[in-house]
Amino acid sequence: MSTVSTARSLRTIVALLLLLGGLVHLRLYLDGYREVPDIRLGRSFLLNAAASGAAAVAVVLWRNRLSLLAGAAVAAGTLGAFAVSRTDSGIFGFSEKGLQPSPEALVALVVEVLAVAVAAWLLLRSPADDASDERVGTSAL
Amino acid sequence: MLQRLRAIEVAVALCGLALIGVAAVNLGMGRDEAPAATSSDAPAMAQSGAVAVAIADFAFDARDLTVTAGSTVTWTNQDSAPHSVVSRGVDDLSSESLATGDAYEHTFDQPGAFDYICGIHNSMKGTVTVVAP
Repeated sequence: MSTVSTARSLRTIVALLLLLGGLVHLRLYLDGYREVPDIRLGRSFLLNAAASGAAAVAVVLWRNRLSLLAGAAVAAGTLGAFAVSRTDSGIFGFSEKGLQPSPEALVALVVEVLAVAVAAWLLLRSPADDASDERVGTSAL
Repeated sequence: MLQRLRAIEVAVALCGLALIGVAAVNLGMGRDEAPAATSSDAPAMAQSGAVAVAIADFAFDARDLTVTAGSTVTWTNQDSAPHSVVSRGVDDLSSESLATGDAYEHTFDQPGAFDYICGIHNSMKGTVTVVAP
């Protein structure tokens, strides 16, 4: 029976979370945010979707710390933008209230927080843990 | 187990690439022009009776509306995203979340200026100015 490294499984979870966050933003764009008068707002949703997709690909294809850092940065940036959008000034003059639109805002919030948390946990592990996991993963091949 | 994880990784990578592709295509199809001027650009002229305000493209199409006392204003959501109509300050206007096609109406009996926003997207603002008939 083969054993898969914990780190590799968690990386896949980070990638899945990033993918889900990107899909939520793409859906919001297609469902109406492309109609916001300032087109920069809609484009920022598309850029989020593209960046999330790229980070998810990087996290599963390149099992190094840089790809994890990129994934964490995309998720953290999304959370930052969410916070700014809840202020009076908003993003590009566009602001929303609380966890609206529902349920997309809540789903995206939970997904991005989890992505940052899991990626941060993987990043904060010691290099020795990484090496140990890689050996386990290799032995499973 | 490892094979299953590999399959998931491949699926994630393919979905990620698809997400990038769809986003890129939509970026290319994005509109280039600013939306057409709305009726808010027209000089204020008091309307009376039943007055309609469309909610479209994340904006109230009559952002500054002037009506006579006793008029009933009806807001109809034409966007695919939900919106609402909520007073700023006093509670004269307080709609539920309006889905596409839903409407909310309010009769203004007293003269005054009534500022309102979308309770979901606070940057969407409007004002109804009520004048004596």
